[in-house]
Amino acid sequence: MRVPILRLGRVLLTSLPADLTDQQVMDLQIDALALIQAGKADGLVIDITAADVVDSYMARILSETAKMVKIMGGVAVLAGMQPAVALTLVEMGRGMIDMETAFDLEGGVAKVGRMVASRGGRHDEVPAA
Amino acid sequence: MYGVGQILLQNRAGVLDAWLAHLRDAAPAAQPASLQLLKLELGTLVEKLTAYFLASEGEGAGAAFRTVEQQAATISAACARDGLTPMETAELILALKTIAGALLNRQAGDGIAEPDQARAALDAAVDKLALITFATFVETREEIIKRQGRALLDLATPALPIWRHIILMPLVGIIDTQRARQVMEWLLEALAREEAHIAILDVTGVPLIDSRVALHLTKTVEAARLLGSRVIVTGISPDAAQTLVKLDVDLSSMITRGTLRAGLAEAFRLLGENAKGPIETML
Repeated sequence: MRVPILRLGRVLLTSLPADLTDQQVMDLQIDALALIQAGKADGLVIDITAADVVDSYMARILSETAKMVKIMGGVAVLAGMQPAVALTLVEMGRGMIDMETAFDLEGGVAKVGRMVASRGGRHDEVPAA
Repeated sequence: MYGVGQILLQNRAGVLDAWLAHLRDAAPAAQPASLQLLKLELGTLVEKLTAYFLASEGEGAGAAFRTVEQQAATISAACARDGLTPMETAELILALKTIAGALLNRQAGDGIAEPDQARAALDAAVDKLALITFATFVETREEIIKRQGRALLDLATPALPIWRHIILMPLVGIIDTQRARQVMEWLLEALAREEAHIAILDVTGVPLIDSRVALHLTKTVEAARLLGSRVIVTGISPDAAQTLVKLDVDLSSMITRGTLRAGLAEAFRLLGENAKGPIETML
């Protein structure tokens, strides 16, 4: 089953389930990039509150997704990481998660808003003169 | 014909008195209260030892000696908790050899069966007890040290919510790997619990900041970042700054300030900048 992606205004929201498979996260990456490419959103918030474990593979896919979104003109934020997960990731090495982070979904959406605003608005429109 | 068991049985009171007298001479500083307690414990030990020697020809010798061992362990643990030195504790048990040995010598004429063998049996038993005493003493001490270490760890690392979205964690004392891990864990938990956006890590009370401590700090900052929070490290002394620069430690990923006051000001500045903006801007 694919992980659903919700759209709130021009932000894509997705919440990763606890038992996420590698295939699901790959599908998620493809779906999110397609939506951004279609001009439906400027940002992506990935909520991982439910995840008790994030392995190095998952961390890499998430970081890569963020970079891909950035290349396509959007911004991506990872929200709601559990303290234990953060601890493990840091023990595995620095820079495992190379993307913006936020405390929770609300903070993530706000951060996307700020980042888009500081960059100068929507990525597929000419700013009004 | 007498054995060691019979001799001890008949002279229990005498042995105990001599032992206590020896104890008073050896450790005059001991508290009267703990002396009373010790008297009881030593009395039990003599009794159990007697029972062992009485049984030593028969079946239940092994079990009897185990109860003697347990009693010796109890005494040793009590000594360790009362702050006696290992030497004093060992001497306390070894004194039995002298006392009971003297008793055996006095009774040597009264028809002991094989006095040499009796003496050897007594010595072997007391030596074994001394060893057990020492082992237990060390164990008890180690337990005490561990407990104190844990208590110290708890005391020295509180996480204080000092403002909405700001927590303060003053670090006091040496930061080793274990402690650094603990600090990181508690900081992350406090961040999640208090929904804090900013943690101020004050290291004024850390006597030595070298590259290892800096590495731990960097890890903590990185972990907090993964939660979406910022860490401000304050209280870095001129000494620490000199050391870190000379060691070529890269602290550029960290926000650092000299004083807690400056750190707090920076926290407010960041909060103003990063306060959760209206989501409506995106709708």
